[in-house]
Amino acid sequence: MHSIIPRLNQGQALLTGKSRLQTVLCLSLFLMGLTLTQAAQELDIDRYRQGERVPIHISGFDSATIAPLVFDLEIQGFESTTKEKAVFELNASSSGDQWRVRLADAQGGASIFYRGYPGPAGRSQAHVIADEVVQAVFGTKGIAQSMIAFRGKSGGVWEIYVADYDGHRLSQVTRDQSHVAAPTWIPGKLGLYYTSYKVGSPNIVSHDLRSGQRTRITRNSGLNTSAAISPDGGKVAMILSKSGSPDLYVARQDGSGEVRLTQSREEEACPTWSKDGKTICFTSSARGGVRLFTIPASGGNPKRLTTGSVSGMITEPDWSPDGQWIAFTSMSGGVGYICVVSASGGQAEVLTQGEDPCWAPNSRNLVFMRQKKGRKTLSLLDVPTKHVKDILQTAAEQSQPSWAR
Amino acid sequence: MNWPTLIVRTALVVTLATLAVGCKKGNKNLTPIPGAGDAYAGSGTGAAGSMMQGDGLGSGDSLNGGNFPNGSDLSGGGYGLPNDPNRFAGKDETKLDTETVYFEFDRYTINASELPKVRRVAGILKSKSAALLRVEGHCDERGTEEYNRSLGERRALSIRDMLVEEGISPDRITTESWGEDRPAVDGNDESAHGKNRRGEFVLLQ
Repeated sequence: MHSIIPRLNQGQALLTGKSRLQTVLCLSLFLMGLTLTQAAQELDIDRYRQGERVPIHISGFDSATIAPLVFDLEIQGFESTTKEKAVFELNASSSGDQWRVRLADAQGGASIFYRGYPGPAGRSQAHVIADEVVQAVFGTKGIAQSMIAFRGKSGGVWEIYVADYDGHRLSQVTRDQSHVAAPTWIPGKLGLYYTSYKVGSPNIVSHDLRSGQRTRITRNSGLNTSAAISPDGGKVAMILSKSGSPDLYVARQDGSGEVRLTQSREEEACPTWSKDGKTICFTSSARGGVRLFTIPASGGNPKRLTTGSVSGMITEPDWSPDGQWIAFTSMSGGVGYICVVSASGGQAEVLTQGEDPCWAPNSRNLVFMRQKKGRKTLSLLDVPTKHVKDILQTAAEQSQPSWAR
Repeated sequence: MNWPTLIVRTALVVTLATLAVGCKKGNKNLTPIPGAGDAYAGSGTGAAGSMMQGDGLGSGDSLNGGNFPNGSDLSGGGYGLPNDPNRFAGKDETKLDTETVYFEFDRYTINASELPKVRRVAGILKSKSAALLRVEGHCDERGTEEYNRSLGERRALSIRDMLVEEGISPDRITTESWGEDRPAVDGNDESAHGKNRRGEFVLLQ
């Protein structure tokens, strides 16, 4: 049986054509000088789109750079290995106060790129280099310079945090000493929506991270939570209980003009938007089991999203930014599993143990929560290779991750 | 199972699912939360749209190593609603420990064994006509976090519905779901789970 997990786009030959190289140039923020050489031979990249990791030999980097660089590449489909086993060679050499990085065919020796970078090296430059390698090899935008939000628990209180995607460069967003839940990014903006218990009942607030301005989006008794912002930023889907049962609603991004989309007695939860903003996927227990449904964002009849033989309590859908996939959690016997299914439903694939998956902007990686020794921690998953790495744990517990995209 | 059978079964399941969702529209016995209409328009404390302009998330954005400005105050503004949650704030709180209602796994219906507790709480509210009540809904850890937040609310609302059936005005009751965030006891066996799937009563006077 063929794997149905997301693959990289087909038909993107490695380093053919000038435009690809120009794109790489534009993305290089720290570019000083370079030599570009067309790859002497076309590598068979398709096999690495099927879930095989790309062997790469990394050498010459200093200790501050090597660890984040290996992390960045290994979570995006590469495997750090010996020169003998490698397909690609990534080598750094220092020259005065600058240093040079070459990506080459490990066996043939042909250069793919050769660049100078200002010193000293470090974590942020490792992210830049990793994303340039991903761009050069796969032709897709890397995620090493992206950010995540999540809630972290320290001293018994949950607060909202933002960090680099690997958990480093942590910033604490709330200091309410109250209780928070369900942070979610505003697409393309340095801002979040989340649920705050500070205002009497749990209500949704927006938070502009630059100014600190917070605005209440809902003002109701009961439950107001699980905000999800439409890809164009114009609307918010959310769960409100004002009808007497938790239902799915859609409103303008400031909370006005709300429309109730479900009318079930049972609880709805966890909305997520399709790429075109026309459809919402959510969780409902309206027919006994806990299952996924889709519904037009303008209202209509909920339609079951099939997941094949994957059963259990099916919750926490997250629609990939490219619109093709829905990741979700299947809970069975108290154990959660991260799963992916085609956005039109079908046979879902179980990827690893965990809960609450959220897609990266590349529609390839997921950040998710898993329990370790009874504590909630965050990890990253490379969906095609199923490779998992833990992010830096900066609080006693961390959960409900949201990837900026 | 051969493919035609699978397709028929899948089609049947899909049809049933659609029917099931479509038919669950009856709101009999559900008690809407008073005043929670769409009447809050205009009570915002700031321009929510302001963050949508000129502050795009570019690749050069930096997190400043924890130097975000503090979040603005959320306490002002009021709700302007008959069931303003602030009406339930600032009261003396008495937790009615002996009346905690327990639920089955992934259920929100109230078992017969728990009914006397709800009726006793209704009796207390009838004897203290000025008192208000907060019903807190909780779950065990075997669901996911946001699903449990919805389920915990559904449990609290079931209890509220039953109190209303016992003659208590819905204006006097507020619900608050904590999902799995505040377990009564630690542990991951059924003994702990059973104690965590609960609705708690807090009398406000």
